[in-house]
Amino acid sequence: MSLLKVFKNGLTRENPTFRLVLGMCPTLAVTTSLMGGLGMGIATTLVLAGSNLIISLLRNVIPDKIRIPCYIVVIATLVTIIDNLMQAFLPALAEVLGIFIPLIVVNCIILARAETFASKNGLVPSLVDGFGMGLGFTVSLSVLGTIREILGTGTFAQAADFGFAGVQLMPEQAAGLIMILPPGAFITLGLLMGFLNQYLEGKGGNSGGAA
Amino acid sequence: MREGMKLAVTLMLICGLAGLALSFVNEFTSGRIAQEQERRLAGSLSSALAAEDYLELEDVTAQLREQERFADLLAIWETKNPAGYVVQVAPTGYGGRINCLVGISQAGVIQGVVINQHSETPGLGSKIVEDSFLDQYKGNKAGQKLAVKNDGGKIAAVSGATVSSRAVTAGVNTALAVFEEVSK
Repeated sequence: MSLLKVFKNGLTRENPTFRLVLGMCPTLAVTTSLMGGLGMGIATTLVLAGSNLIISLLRNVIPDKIRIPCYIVVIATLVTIIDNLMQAFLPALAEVLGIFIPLIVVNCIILARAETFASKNGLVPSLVDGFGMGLGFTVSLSVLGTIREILGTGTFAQAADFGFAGVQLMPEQAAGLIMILPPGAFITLGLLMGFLNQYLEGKGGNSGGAA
Repeated sequence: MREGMKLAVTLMLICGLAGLALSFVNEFTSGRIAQEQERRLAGSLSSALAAEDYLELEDVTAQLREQERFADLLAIWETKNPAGYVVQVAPTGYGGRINCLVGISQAGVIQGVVINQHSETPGLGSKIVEDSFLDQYKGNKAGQKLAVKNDGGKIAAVSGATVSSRAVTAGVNTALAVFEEVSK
């Protein structure tokens, strides 16, 4: 597989959210707004690229039988390090992403990519895969967040933590609160997943999940 | 058996390295993180009640905390120029404790409410940090019990986040009660 193909893989054919259906807990929980989805996506991308890189480096050292505990140790360590560094050097960002960081440890995309890709591929492809998957995750979460924010609160790109009130697209009274509550997450996710499957089928792809 | 040993040793080595990396990063960042938190607290204090000097009343806090109704109290600062108090309380909201600072003038009027830290639902409860909500508390006097509109009070709750709004209101009430105790 060429590097470009590896990169694009995470965006469409193996999109973690809509095709692999991995990491649903953070997906459903934080996509109440565009900023929430975007923030979670960026934080996950960093961890994903880092963990793919380390796992790929260690792939000949880690014995097959204990690979899962090893991966978990590596991922948890990486997340804690990133959390600490952010709190110390980027406090404003840490404040916004703060609640998402511990959630990343339990995001199974990270473990899934370590297991299915990084443990079998070299450094560069693993890093590219991490960024591609991360970008796919970020785009998916941002789309979900945008739709739910507009329908649920009537605003676009509101970011209270940065003091940005967002663009009011429709009056708050017209917005349906259900869209930023859990049912709205399931409804939006289901519809988007259906549309993407339809689109990929039209292009001659397989209809089921890829993994 | 030999293979088992090898696996155990490998895992141990990886865990050891991870521990080493973590302790190194912690050593390197803990000072800065503590500094950052102090700076944050100082910022929150001055937006709750802008004053020249803040003196923490640790003994009074410890005494008051023995009473059950002050269980949420975290800290009290006496301010100079202008004289007043900042009370830090942590009522329980929807997603855990909401750490808020309430600035009260010597006359017992609320000067400002600041949410220092919270873990309310993003997009719903998290809106309690917005000025449009918090400014409602300003100007209210000690000696009354504030309540959200659903409970017959005058505080307009953040829509979809009555629990969070109630928690902040309860916190402000606790702060007012603390003020009445310390200003006696």
